[in-house]
Amino acid sequence: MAAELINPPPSVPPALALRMSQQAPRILQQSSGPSLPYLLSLLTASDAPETWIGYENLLLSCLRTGDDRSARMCLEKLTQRFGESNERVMALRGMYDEAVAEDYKALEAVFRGYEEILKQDPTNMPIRKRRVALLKAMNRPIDATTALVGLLDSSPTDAEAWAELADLYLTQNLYSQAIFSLEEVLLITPNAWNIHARMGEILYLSSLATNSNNDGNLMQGLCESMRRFCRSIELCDNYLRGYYGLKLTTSRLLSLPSKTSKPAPAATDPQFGDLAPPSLATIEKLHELATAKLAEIVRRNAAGESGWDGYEQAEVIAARELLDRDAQKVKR
Amino acid sequence: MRLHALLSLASLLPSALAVFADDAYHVDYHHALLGLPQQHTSFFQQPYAGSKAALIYTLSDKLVLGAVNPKDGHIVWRQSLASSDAIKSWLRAGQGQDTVVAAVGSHVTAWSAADGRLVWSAESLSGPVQDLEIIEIEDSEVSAGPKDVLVLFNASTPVVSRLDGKTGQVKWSFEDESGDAPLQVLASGAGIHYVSLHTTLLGGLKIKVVSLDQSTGHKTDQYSLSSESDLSSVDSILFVGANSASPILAWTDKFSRALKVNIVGTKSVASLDIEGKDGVGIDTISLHAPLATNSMPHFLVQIQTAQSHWADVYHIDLKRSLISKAYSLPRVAGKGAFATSTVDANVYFTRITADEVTVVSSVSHGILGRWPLKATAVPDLSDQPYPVSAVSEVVSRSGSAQAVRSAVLFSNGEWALIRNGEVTWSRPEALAGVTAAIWAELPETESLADQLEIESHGNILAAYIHRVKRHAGDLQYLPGWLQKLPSRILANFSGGSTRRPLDGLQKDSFGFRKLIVVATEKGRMAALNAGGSGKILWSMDTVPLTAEEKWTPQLRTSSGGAIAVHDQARGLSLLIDAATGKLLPVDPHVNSAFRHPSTGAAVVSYSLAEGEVRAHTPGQENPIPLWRFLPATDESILDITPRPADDPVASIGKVLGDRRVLYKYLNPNLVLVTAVHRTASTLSVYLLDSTSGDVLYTASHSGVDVTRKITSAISENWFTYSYTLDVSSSSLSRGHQLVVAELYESAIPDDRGPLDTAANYSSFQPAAAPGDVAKPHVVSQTFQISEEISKMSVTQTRQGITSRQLLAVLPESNSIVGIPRNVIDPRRPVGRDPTPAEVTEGLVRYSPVVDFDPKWYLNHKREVFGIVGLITSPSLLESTSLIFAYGLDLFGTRVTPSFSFDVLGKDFNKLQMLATVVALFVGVMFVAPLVRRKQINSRWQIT
Repeated sequence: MAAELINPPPSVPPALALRMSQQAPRILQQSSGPSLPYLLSLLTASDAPETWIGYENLLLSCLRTGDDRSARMCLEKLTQRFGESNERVMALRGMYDEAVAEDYKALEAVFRGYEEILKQDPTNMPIRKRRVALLKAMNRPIDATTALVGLLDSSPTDAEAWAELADLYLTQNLYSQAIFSLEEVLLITPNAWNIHARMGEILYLSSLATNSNNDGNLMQGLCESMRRFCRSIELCDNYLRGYYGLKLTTSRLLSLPSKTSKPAPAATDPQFGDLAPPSLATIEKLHELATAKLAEIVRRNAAGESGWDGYEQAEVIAARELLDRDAQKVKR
Repeated sequence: MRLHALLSLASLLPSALAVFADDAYHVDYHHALLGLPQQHTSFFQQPYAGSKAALIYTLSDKLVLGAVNPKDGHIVWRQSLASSDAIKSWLRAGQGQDTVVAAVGSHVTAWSAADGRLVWSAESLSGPVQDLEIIEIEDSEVSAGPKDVLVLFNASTPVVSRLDGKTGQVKWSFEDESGDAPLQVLASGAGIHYVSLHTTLLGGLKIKVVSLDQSTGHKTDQYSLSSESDLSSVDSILFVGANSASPILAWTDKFSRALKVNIVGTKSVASLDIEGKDGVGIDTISLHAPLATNSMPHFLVQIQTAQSHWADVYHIDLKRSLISKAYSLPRVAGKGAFATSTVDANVYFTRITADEVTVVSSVSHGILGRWPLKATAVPDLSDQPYPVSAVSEVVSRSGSAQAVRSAVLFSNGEWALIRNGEVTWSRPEALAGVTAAIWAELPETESLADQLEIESHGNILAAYIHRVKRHAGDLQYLPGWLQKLPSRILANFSGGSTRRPLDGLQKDSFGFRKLIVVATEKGRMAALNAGGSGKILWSMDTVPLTAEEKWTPQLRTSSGGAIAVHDQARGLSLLIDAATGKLLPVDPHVNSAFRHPSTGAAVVSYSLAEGEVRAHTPGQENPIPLWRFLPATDESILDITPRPADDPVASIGKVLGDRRVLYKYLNPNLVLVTAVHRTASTLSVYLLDSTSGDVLYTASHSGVDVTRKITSAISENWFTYSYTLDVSSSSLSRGHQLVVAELYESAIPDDRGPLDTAANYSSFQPAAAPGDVAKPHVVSQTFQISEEISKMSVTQTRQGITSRQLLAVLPESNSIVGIPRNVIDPRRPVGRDPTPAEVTEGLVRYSPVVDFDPKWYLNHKREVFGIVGLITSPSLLESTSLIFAYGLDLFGTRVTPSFSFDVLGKDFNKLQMLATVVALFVGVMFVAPLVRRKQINSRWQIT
């Protein structure tokens, strides 16, 4: 089984997913040899942990690319090995059922199946998560949020669930709840730079959305957002999203009327209150840094230098667009 | 602390150690010897009437009476008849009798022929036995039963006695009051004749024959033979007796020119000319005649010259009392032996020369059987062995088809049975009477040690090159080693290799294979392979000796696997290669090391001279000794026993039960001197420091039987001696006693005595002020033992960690015991039970009597006769000590005083161990996937 199947990147790009799913017929044919009696089958080394991780990833990429037949076979293999009642297998089966559901009715049938399972065993976490995902897919975000909050009540250290909740809140424009949820995530994984950047983005959005007419609060929000981006850059060098956000927030801060950017030093307490907004010079320096860095990333990525090719193309394009916007401004 | 634990563990080991049944006959070897058999006391004889198989009976020159199985040469039974006043010995057996009668000294003993039990014994108070005969032809009134014995005692008035064959009681005695020297008695069909020699005025000897009545012992007739002209000494008389029907008297004239023969009962003397051939003087003339009563009256005269030998056969005409020559046996170069045997009335002569065996009948000169003689089994480094004497048994079938077996004594001391020319067995009787023995390393071990020596003394590069070269040289053994590897592994697992006797001279990993070089009192040297069942590797005559001389050389190990032999009496020094027996050129400075054999490399050497111990600087004979030790007035020194030069000590202290330490007094220069006062019957023991000459300890015992054996041994920090109390002493106790004494630096535990704080120490002056000696604290104890000890020794191991055993030779029971050290510990509490602390030390309450546990006997079922010395040697295994006892018999074994803790026992099942490993492996093969499956399952259970 290929290494990418056993150990795939955290987020599988579509091309890779396609490549993975194309391997499915070969792998499935390979492993469907005649099965040996129980004791003898033990002696063959096929029962490695990697095999089954591989089948799981294969199943996921097949579902992604619509190769339902191969997905079905993968699922059967996993079911054969771990049994119907294995929670992880149940969740995978649910995922398969969701993927092959043709209409909303079918989805509802799957949902009822979930409810049935949860009635028998309310602690079945994979199915509870699937249920949240299904509700989200069925465009019932409020139900999904309720279900997710219930799930988090029983399992408050599940960072994945908290992040999902933050997303759900964001879709409903509930910024402060989303920020709270992300803060919970950061409590669990304090060094997750992407979460820091995500936090900065939401803070940026919320301050723009809620304080468009209040310069002081807007600045406060933007400063907070900028700090989050700084933290994410601190945790991850050349983090494009972080620099993008940093540039966005700093340019926004610089564009604010300068009088409001003079804070009263006495009003801030570094210990208990909010931090004082940074000085203009600092913001400018940060802006320059972000611009320079973004330009470097874009340039190097375009040149295809080794070590600079991991960026998502969409993000690079967005960054270039942001830089171009600046350049046009200068041209004018 | 670890040492303490080890020691306390060692003290917990059981004290009694046995020779295990599966070790017996595997780890030990025994040459049960008789001594050189004498022609006139050796014969084939059925052990009881009607027995199909005959045994060979012999009374050897060592006065050991033995019965040997002619099939394999094993001794059926042995009795030692050694007596101090014995010069000659006789052994007779009547035809069809179940007893053999032996006479040694003034004792006449009858032994059961089948099992060697004493039937009766008779002792003459008047004088030694001069002759012994069995009365074969019974007078009519005596009923069937053991035949009576006729004995001639050589007293002031010679006595002829007829002893009852059943009880040994005297039936009648005849005293010869004529004052003539008694010669022999003859019992024949013609009656009993008493032959004596009458010295005439001119110095010639006149043979006087007295006829006695068989049933009463009265003199019936007397006559003299006029032999005075040609008979001047007893040595000229060749033969008296034989063939009871016609006993003859034969002597030679002064110049060995004529043989005079008289048929006893007649007065005529026949003179037979001896033709000297090839003009060489005749060395010996011997006469062989059949001994059976009903055999034909024929006899053979053997003539031996320096280069050749031949024989003439004579017939006696009984009716006419004529002796006529029948035929001659041809002259054969070299030396030969003749044996007479009878089958019914026929007489056969067996002639054994160095290269063939021939059988002729006494009637005609036709050769009935001829077999070429194959070389004797043992390689002899001296000249080619030749037969010296022989006894034989002829099987005659239809006149010609014959088989003959002869027990032949060869000149190299091998006593071999030759059956139709083949050597069936041979016994190394030359080794009876070993006076000195020494351990020698195998040449291979020695050469490796030499190589390492070279490497350690060269510079680093040269040593490295030398080593690489040596290893490259060793590569040539690799293919052979690899070839043998599978069979060795297989043998290891089947357990066969440990039982296989080790042969060859390769070294072994346990160091059991060593050589023992022995020197016999007859001037012969031999080497035994201690690891290979005591096989004799070589044997050679080293020093020519006369019959009376006894050779007692000193043996020392020299460099390069050589043994240095030094004979003080003859001023002779030899260097002999231990492995091959070849003589090596003598190094002059090796010789000087001999002058002070007791010390070796010490600063001061000492020797016993003129009744005192004198010390000198080694290598030079000072006119004034460094010190002298004189025992008390009228005491004479019996023996000096030094502490062994190589005596490793594992611990300098003895750990007590409460974890305190009693420091041992370890002085390498200890010498134990035993001296006796012969009139006052006292035994004094002096412990000397051989460097300073200080007396460290003395003890005196009164009422000691000073004529009995007094032996001593010293090792580590203890010494022991044994003696026998005089029967007439005033002491309440009787019997044999063993004294054991231990030396400590101080009586107080954790104290090192006066030497504790001393920064400097001088061996020459152990104390600051003269006379003020730092004496050891001595703890001694006496034990009553059940048997006399004739020789003591102490086991030696490589590091001295193993507890020691006191080895003692018990001459009365012909055995060797190994007494565990803790049994004779002088610190055993007296009159009270041991305290718990003492119990942890392994001390038990003192009981005066030490019984020799049957398990202590190292010789188990074997009987070791006449042991005069006991040497021990460490092996490469710390647990094991090698022992070799010598004397008449040679006996070797190995002992493990603290069990064989460093080697796997024979009962260790290697196959089982292997099966367990395989089973575990298979188990793991099956369990591993199960565990993996479970792990995967649990990983898939969460999330």
